[in-house]
Amino acid sequence: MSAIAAQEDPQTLAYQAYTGLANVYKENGSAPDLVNKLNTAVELIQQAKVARTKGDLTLATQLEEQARTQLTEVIGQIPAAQRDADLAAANTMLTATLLIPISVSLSTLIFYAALRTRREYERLKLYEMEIIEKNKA
Amino acid sequence: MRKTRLRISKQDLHYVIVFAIITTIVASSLTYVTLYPRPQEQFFASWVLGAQGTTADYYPNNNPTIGLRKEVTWTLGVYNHMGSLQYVVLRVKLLNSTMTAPNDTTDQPSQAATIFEFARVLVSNETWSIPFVWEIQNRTSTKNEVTITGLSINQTTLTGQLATANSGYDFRFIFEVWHYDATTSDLSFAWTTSDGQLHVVWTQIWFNATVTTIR
Repeated sequence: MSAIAAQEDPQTLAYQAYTGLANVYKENGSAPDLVNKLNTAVELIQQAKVARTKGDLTLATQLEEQARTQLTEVIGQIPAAQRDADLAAANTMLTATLLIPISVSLSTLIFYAALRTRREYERLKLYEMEIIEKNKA
Repeated sequence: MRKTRLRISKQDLHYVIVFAIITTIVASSLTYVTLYPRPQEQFFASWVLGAQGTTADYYPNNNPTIGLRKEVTWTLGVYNHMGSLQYVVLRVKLLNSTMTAPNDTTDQPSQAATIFEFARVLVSNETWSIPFVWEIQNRTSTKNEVTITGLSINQTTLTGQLATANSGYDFRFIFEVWHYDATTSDLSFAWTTSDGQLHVVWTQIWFNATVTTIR
């Protein structure tokens, strides 16, 4: 745990962790393990608040310390989750961008082949008619 | 001869080009719609269910007059349809009939103090169910007024002048849905939808705490 994190209010750390994770999810990323860990910390913070209201400062401090530890871990893992989300977003964009020329080329090729087949059929039909006309003559 | 047969006519070339243009437009549109779907309507929803997890049986023996140490079991629910990860706080307030409830027009929360709160981070489309078990542990009464001075919520005891009602009638729990707003770095009661409108969500449920309970 960093010295800064040790001094910070766990509620502030929870908001900081949430903001980081919200950015990951905004880019269509996903980090369910980190969200679960954040929720555990949020629950500890709520319990600490109740303990403080009851006047049990020792328990409140212990719970806050546990929450702080969980939150520091979450905050530490957010950059990796963010990188994964960025990479996944870039891959999706690249795949989608590549799919456009591939699908256009493929469908145009099929259309061209169909057109050629039709033209070939028309040419053969004409040739056949020419032979019949020649035979009649 | 073969060379002539493989050559594409000017008319066919036009057909192929037009087909390729149409296919490009269709493929690009489909890709855009897939990558950037139309923003959905953004909202939170909240509700209170009774002891059986339905919209019934809110009070023991269906009697809204709650006696001392009479346990009441409800299930609170919050649904996140904001299309994003949300830090949600459900604030519980105890009011009487004359205290100001949250205002749907001005989007202001109730000015009453929060007596209890629940918090959780919800992913998009997640539903959060919260058991809410409470009982009145203590109350004081004068000639015309009943004041709840001891309340237990989920085995947490709250004491103090929590709320006072005329003859003990028409107390109400109010449940307000708040969320963390990263732009203001604070909890916010109202949220802005994609069309720029402000919305709030809250629920209330009434009960009596008269000194002579009806049996």
